[in-house]
Amino acid sequence: MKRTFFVAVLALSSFAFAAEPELKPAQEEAKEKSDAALADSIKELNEKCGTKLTTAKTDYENFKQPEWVNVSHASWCSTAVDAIAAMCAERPAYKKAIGKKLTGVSCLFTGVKAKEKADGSNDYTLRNMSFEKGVFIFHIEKDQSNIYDNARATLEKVLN
Amino acid sequence: MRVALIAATLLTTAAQAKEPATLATLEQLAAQHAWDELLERAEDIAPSNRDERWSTQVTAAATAVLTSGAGGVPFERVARADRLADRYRFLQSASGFITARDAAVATGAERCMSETGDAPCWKALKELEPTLSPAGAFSLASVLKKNGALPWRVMALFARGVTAKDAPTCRDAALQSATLGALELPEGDAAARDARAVAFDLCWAALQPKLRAAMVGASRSRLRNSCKALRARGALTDMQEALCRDEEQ
Repeated sequence: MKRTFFVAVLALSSFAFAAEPELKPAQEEAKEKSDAALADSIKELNEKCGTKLTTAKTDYENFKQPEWVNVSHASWCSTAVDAIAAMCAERPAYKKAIGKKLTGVSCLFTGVKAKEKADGSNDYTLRNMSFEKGVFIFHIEKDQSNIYDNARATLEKVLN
Repeated sequence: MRVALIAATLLTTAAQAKEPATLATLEQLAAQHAWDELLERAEDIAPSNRDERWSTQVTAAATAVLTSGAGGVPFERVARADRLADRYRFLQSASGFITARDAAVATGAERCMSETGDAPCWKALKELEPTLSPAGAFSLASVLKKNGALPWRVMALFARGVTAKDAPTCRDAALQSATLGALELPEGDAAARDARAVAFDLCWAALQPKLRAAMVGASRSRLRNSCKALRARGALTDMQEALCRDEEQ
């Protein structure tokens, strides 16, 4: 009985350990920067919107440092989070709805939907933002623009 | 002998020049498209003889001189139209002439903006705009909008051009764009008032989808201009209703 329990605990621990992706040094460093920027933004989001998020989900194991040279990748996600917080600060109706519906934020380097020929200045960014099952999802790429307004527009569309 | 011949010629010419025109003369001049001469000689007809045939010829001539040729300075044709309307008062209510004058204002505005820059044109238009017919106001608004005029500047003209509920002008893209834009202006602004009348009273059927779509992410001014009317038409979502209440508090 004791041995079975011990094996089970060990297996679960190994699984948990294995689930944490291994990051290369550059990815580790990038994630630290992002986490630092996000910590303040998430705190503000919780204060303004009444949400209870601990962090935003990121996938820095897919971060390719050469693609982001001289670009502040950390600000992509935090800017989107700041935009959501601002909506709550400005409009009580949004605060109520977002506080109730927003359960997570994901900023991912994978799953980016490509640019299209007919794209206007915001289309590419908007195409990579969505709100699914309570989670604001942002597929990040360095050519995206106007993140603050587009994050707002994405949520406003969903909420309205 | 030669002196006598010259004198006779001069006398003959003078007699011909003084010979008053008849209605038949005017019709002949019209057939030749001799519009300027027709307008010069139309007053040869005694006032008591100025019947519908006469006014038809004069209107045709006055309209033709406003629409032919390249014209001089941008609003020169409008000035000519006004001189003619002073001289032949009935032209002020002749629909063909009114349309031609309206067109002269619109083309004058377009030329003015491309040739002299905006400021002098706005000054001239300020005086001309009240003199336009509803159709003329609409045409001018379209020209101005095409040339970059902002909603606050053209909204009153567009509103004048919508003369009835669900008029065909309601489907005009420039009018719709100006109306949606003017709803972003402060509630008390005259252009916002005109936009509300066009959007919610006159052109609701044509504008409804765009008005609803514009409520997503609406500014405070848009909410103030739209909430009451959209609520009355049951066109607010729950979230929009909540946003409207926030704004109205």
